[in-house]
Amino acid sequence: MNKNKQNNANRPLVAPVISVREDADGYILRADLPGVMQDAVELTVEDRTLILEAENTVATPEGYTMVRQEIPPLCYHAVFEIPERVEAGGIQSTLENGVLTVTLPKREEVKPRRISVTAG
Amino acid sequence: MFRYTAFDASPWRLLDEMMDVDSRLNRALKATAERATGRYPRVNIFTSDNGAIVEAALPGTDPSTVEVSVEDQVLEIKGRRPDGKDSDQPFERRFELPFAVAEEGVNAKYSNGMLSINLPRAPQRKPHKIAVAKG
Repeated sequence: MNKNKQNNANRPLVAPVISVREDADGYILRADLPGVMQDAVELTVEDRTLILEAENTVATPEGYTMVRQEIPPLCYHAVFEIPERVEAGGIQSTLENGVLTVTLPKREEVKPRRISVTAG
Repeated sequence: MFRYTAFDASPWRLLDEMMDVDSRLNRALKATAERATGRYPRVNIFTSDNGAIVEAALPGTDPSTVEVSVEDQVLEIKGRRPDGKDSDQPFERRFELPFAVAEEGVNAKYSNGMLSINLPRAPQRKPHKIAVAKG
């Protein structure tokens, strides 16, 4: 699929640290993906399922030897059911500083709305 | 798992519901992630004749809030761990290095949520020859 996503089979599958919060407009899902480059993230929507797959880059600098490894090459993987009230077509995501933010907008009809009261 | 039709406002209920899709796999994965959170930040360390490079996983962190210091042969990384909510947790980790560091040459850069700290080795005291005089 791309240059930064390879030897998938050898990498252990790990769930990223995830937080989800809700506001009036929708849900904001954050997944920690340290060391993951933008072209190594794949986000797929299939029916009402959101699938996240990402691979980090671990490279030994030239001329150096690795003496301690706490961050192995990983395949981050998570599967979410998209709530009915989310407009699946409007899902967007950004990757910044190793954090993937996915915004899942609510469908207009489920958003809270103010009803103006007119004088009778 | 308990199923409900009305949508619950709690983000944790939402997360649970979302996670339920592939729950057995996700449970195993979640456990892995939790076991791994004991030490923060997690690091990879590389060494060469010229020095060491420490790469620390600090996703979503403002690098200006991270304190990196070297004293004697000990590297210290301090800061606050963002958790996406308001309750950032302080963290602190120390690493003993196998050699003295040229402190003025230490630099760090942050990209893709990884802090890479370059620690050049201090110039070694040169062994000096002692002339042996004839007796």
